[in-house]
Parts: sequence; structure tokens; C-alpha cells
Amino acid sequence: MKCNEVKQLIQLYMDNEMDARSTLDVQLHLETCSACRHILDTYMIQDEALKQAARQEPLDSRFLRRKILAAIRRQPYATSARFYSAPVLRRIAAVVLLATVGALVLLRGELLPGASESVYAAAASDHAKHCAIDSSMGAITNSEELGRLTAAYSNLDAPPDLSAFGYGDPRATVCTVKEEKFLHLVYYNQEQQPVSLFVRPHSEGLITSRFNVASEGDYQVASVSSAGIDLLVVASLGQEQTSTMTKAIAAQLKV
Amino acid sequence: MTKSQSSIQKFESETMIHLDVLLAAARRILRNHQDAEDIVQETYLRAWKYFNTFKPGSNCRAWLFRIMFNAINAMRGKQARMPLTPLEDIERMDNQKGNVITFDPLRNIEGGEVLRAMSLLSEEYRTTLWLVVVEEFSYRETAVVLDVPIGTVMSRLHRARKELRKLLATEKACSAAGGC
Repeated sequence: MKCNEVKQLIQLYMDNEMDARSTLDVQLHLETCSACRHILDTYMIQDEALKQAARQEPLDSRFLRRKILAAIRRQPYATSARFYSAPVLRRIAAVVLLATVGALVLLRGELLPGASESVYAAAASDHAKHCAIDSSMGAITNSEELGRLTAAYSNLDAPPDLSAFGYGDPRATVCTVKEEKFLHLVYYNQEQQPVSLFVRPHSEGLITSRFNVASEGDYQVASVSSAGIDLLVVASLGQEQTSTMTKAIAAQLKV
Repeated sequence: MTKSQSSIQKFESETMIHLDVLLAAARRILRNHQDAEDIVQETYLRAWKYFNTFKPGSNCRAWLFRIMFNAINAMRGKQARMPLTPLEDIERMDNQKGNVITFDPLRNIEGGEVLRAMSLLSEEYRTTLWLVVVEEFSYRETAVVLDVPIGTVMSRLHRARKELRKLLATEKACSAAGGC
């Protein structure tokens, strides 16, 4: 072993942080190298001086000891006991929290965040079924009749106006989505692409007030309950367009 | 005996034997007696609070040191940019004579001399030096106590020893010249 290597290792050697083999190598070198031996001695004397000085330092901790013990006794045992039981309490709290969340999901989970997938699927299915040209033949298109039906299922006197989106000529049927009756309004644009609106007076169970939009097959389905009216919109548009349109309809329902 | 009393007794017998070493270390690291006493008291209150996490038979001294350095770090956080404590009180103690340590007939180092030189090191250096040299913690234990990588312990220790050697050489030169 060379001096440079030993100088790098001398600290580890002093502090007994080397393996047996390396320790032996350093020892062998030190036996024959006075320069390295001198470095080691210097540091060892210094360390020993520090150690002894620290240990000989006068120290009176009696007052502090009494102070600490008095402070500990002042702390009620409950503090310690609470700490002992805290992890258990935390575990119980976590279980209760999970159970509560689980129960909520089970009870109302189908409605989170806006409506369940099955509602969206039923709406999309009804949209596909009633939007075929031949099956829309029997739908109501008379404006007076449309107004009456719309008033019966919503707080509007006429179907929502979607002309701003290029949709018009609504036609209506009464459909069942998840065994709940909705007024199903179908609009078409110039390309004869349909969009469906399902409305009904709000009733607990299917649609929440939280706006949501999700993909369902080839369609986007949006849902929101606003101004006491449940609304579902099914379209072959992008998610953003569907959202914008649904929010515009919800705003009309509020008016 | 109540459960509370037996807990306190158990805590006392397990931890109080380390009070002096904690106080000595705190005094040297913080360089102020009052701060040292406060931090040691805080250390014991924290240790009491978390005593149920202490595993009987494990290294209680290292556990207490770890708590103490957490408390020091918390104190440092509160006192950001805290001015350095004046050295007067620690110097007064270091200058007490009658504590001559002789290891080598050619090289006498006074206890006050080495402690005074150590007080001039940065806090990181004197802390690491104290834990390894005085407390004889291993590098690994020191790394755990200070919550730093083991390589940091080694480099700080190397620099601290080198720095201390320089300071002692200066001190000796000053003494030989009748003061600097």
C-alpha cells in the first residue's frame, strides 16, 4: 500500500471503520512509514485530547434533571396513554371513514359523479333507437303539442332553443330510461345529425346536480340536474361541444 | 404504584443515565448554557411523548441524540438566521486551568485549548466531530443521528479534524509568542 492510499484511509483506520483485510494492510504500511505514522499520531493525540477534555468538563445536571422530571410528571399520563392508543384510534378512524365512503358509494355511488354508466347507456340506446329516420315518424312535431309536452316535463313552455348550435326542428316522444319516464326531444342539424335531450322534473335516484359528461359507445352523454329539471344530452359531437351545448340548455332551464 | 408512576420510573431508568452526555454535547454544539439546557429539556419531553416507540434493548443514547438534533433543527428553523451565540461564557469555562492533558511528552494540549479550538469550528464540523470522537458513535450511527448520508459524515469529519489541527497549531504558535 502506498502513502497516498494510506492517507485516504487513515481516518477510517482511526475510527475502526475498516474491514480486517484493509486494517492489516494499513498497519503493515504504518510499521515501515514514519511520515504516515506521524499523521496518524497527530490526529490520535488531537482526538484523545478532545475526548478527555470533554469528559473532564465540570457539569452539574442535578437541577436540570429535577426540572425535567417535574415537567414530565406535570404531563398527565393520559398524554402518554393517548399516544399509545393513537395509532389504534387512527386505524379505527380510517376503517370507519372507509366504511362510510363505501356505504355512500353503495347507496348513491351509481349517481356519482353525475349519473351512472347504466343511465348513460340507456340514454344512448334510446337516442340510437329514436333517431333513425323511420322510427321518428311517429314523434310529435306539432309546436302546440310540443309546448304542452315540454311544459309537462320541464319548466319551459317550448323545447329548448338549439339554433345557436345549428340544431332545430325538435320532435318529441316519451321514453323510459332506467324505468323512469323522460321527454325525449330529438333535434337535427342541416347534415341530419341528431342530438337528443331527455328531460323530466327532478327526482332523486338517477341524475345529480353535478355536471358530468362521458363517452358511451359512439356518443357523448352529458347529465345535470338544474332548476328542478333532470337533463341528459346525447350527441355524436366532441366532448367539449356536448358540454357547451348541455350547459346552454341548463341555462335555458334556469330562466 | 400507579401505571403512570411505573412508566415514569421506567423512562427515568432508561434515559436519565444519558443526561450528562446530552447536556455536554448540547453545550458544545450550541455554545450557550441556557440554550443547551432548554434543548435537553425539550429532548426529554419529546422522548417521553414518544417513549412507546422506543424498543427496549436498542441504543437509547443514539435515540436520544437523534431526538435532540431534531429539536435543534426545529429550533434553528424557528430562529432562522439566528446570530451566533457569543463565546464569552464558553470561553470562560475553557480558560479554567488545571486541566492539562498529557499524551505525548513532547506535545501537551490543554483541555481548554482543544475545546476552545473546537468551538471555532462550524456547527456541522463540531457536531460530527463530537459524535464520532467524544461519543464514539460509528459513522453509520452518526449518519442516522444527524439524518445525513454516511459520506457526508466522513467528509465533515475529515475536514473537521484538519481544521482543528490548524486551529491548535495556531493556538500553540500564539501561546509560544505570548499571545496573538
